[in-house]
Amino acid sequence: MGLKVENASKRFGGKTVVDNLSFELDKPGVFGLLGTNGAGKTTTIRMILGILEKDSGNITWNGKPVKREDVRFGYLPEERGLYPQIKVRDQLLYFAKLRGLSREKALKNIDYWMKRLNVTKYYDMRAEQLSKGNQQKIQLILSILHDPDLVVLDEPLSGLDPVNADLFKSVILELVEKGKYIVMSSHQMTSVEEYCRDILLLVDGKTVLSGNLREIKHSYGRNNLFIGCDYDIIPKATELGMTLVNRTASGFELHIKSEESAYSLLKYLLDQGVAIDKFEIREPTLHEIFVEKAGERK
Amino acid sequence: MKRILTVLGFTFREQARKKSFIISTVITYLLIILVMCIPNIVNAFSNSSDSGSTSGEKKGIEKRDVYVIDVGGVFSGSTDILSSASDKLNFIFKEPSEKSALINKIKDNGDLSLIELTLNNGVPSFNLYVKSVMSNASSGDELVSVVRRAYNTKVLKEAGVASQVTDKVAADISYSSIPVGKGTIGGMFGSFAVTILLFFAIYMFGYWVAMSIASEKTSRVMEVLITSTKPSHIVIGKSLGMGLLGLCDMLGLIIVAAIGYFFVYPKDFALGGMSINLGFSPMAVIMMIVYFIFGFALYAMFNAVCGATVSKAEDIQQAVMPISIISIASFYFAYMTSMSPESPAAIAASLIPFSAPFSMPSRMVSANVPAWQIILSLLLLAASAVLMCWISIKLYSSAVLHYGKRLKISELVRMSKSK
Repeated sequence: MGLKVENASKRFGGKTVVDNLSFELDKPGVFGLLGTNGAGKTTTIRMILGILEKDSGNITWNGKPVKREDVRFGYLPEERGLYPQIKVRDQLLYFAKLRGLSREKALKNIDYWMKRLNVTKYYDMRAEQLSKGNQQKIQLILSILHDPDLVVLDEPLSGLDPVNADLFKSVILELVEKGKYIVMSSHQMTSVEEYCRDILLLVDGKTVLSGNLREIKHSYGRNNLFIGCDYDIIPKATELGMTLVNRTASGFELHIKSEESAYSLLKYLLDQGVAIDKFEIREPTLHEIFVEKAGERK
Repeated sequence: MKRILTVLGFTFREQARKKSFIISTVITYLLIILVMCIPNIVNAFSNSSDSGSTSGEKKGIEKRDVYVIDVGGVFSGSTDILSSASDKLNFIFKEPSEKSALINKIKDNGDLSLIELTLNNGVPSFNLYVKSVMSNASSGDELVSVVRRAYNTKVLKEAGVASQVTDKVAADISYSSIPVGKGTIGGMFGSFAVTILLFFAIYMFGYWVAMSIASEKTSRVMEVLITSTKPSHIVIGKSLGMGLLGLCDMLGLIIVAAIGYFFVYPKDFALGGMSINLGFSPMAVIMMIVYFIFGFALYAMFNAVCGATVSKAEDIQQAVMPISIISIASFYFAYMTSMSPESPAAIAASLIPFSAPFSMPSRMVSANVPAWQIILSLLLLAASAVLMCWISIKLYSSAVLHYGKRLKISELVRMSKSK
């Protein structure tokens, strides 16, 4: 069971928007589809959902070509959209029915998700009367109320305050626990790191990085050092062969060639009596990998 | 099928709830009732003017003045015969030398007229001077009738015929026109009404299909919709929903019109002696509905594509311009030909699919249309609607996800091929 994309390509006019894309989501979990703006993420999602025909390649769900009629999928598009002058209840019921739910089942599911996302008081209000964040919650409900097997979330957390972002994250985790297959596109790398088992990074329609996120990060090694202190460590760090990546208000981000050099620097600072708030040797963050890979292509 | 019905129900319900729809429907119904009341208003005015003239004579209300210059001596010695030949006209005999002064008077007063009588081979003739052909002065036909009666009376009297006989000759003959075919003035009014009604119903509800699709693109709900069901379900369901609402609206309108016709419209209403029977039969009403269904299907599918080509609802007017041009041209073609419903142009208008919905039902009200023309017209219209539906679904699914500048037809065709 699962989603399999093999050598999918799409051209518009003479321009190749998605080039020979392949990935597989073979067990429940979250797959991160990452990329710069205009990299081809939305086109890929539309090909997966069958609303755009691919020019070549294969996209299958459980070994069969993806067709709207055969696959129960939910979709939260990047461009949010609801009927502005129609009551929340009416439009949720409409979409539930379009996706094959009976009225009773639809009302039961709507009730569950409205409570789960704390929006029951908006049930009889028109969509245009809701705040942007609450509209986004209604849209999330709209994409999952029919209990889909495959859920595609395009930038699900953009524009949300921290409290609602946490609420969305908890819903995504609940879906994973229920055995759903989720494809998520996001620019928020910390969120992707939180959920995604596998990722794919697209730049100009081409895959520049793909695979298990943990393995990708391991492959980079523990080459990043953060030291939180007020002391100017740059001369000593340079002497030890380190490169300054970033100087923040709380300390220094450094690129190291070996862990030994990091410990040498730590010993030096302690000998000097410098008060150290934080010392961390770590793998690069997904954000750093993204910037590096996207920057290389550009 | 279930999903088409879901889209149908949703479209019907939401459109019927809109204030703009409710207000326009109520206004239309009120207008229909008002139109049905017009004959009563006309009758009321004509009765009051009739009673006015009867009592007016008693009160000495002025008749219209007609100056007479009797150059040929047509009524020499018996001017009173002409004066008593009409109770609506007041003949005032003048000398030829006053002609210029009288003409100047007529130039200032549209109610006055002047006749210059001559005799040609013993038969009277006259020149009629009026301010303009549109003025209120007496018509030539009216004067000919009066002068002829007066002259006949004079000739008979001179020949010694008894006054009982001359009075009978001078008497005005009344008449009423009783049409036995369909070519009545009432049928013509009915046919105009059908053409206008069908045009507005098809155009307005078709436009709402385009508007509804464009609104779904503006609110960006289209992307969710298109992943929830097939584009064909959306196009067909939406068009059926809007069409069903249009049909209900039209049935309501027909019912209101029928109630008005039976309870308000006077059965004996006549204009110029001609009875105004609107000429509607149950068959004509059924055909109106049938042509509305097929005509709406044709135009709604066209509208659906236009609605899908824009990104914002504000651009819809521009997008539907081709449909507006086609439908208005078709409407005028049908409207013009409805005046002569059995002409070759009218037959052509009722067979061409774009004008047939406006033309054929209106012809059926005012003329006897052969069955083969009705069947051929319906077949052509139905085939065109099916073809348009197929094209529409193909183009719609390519266009709905396009945002940005409005799509041209060539781009649309290219996109539908590459999709």
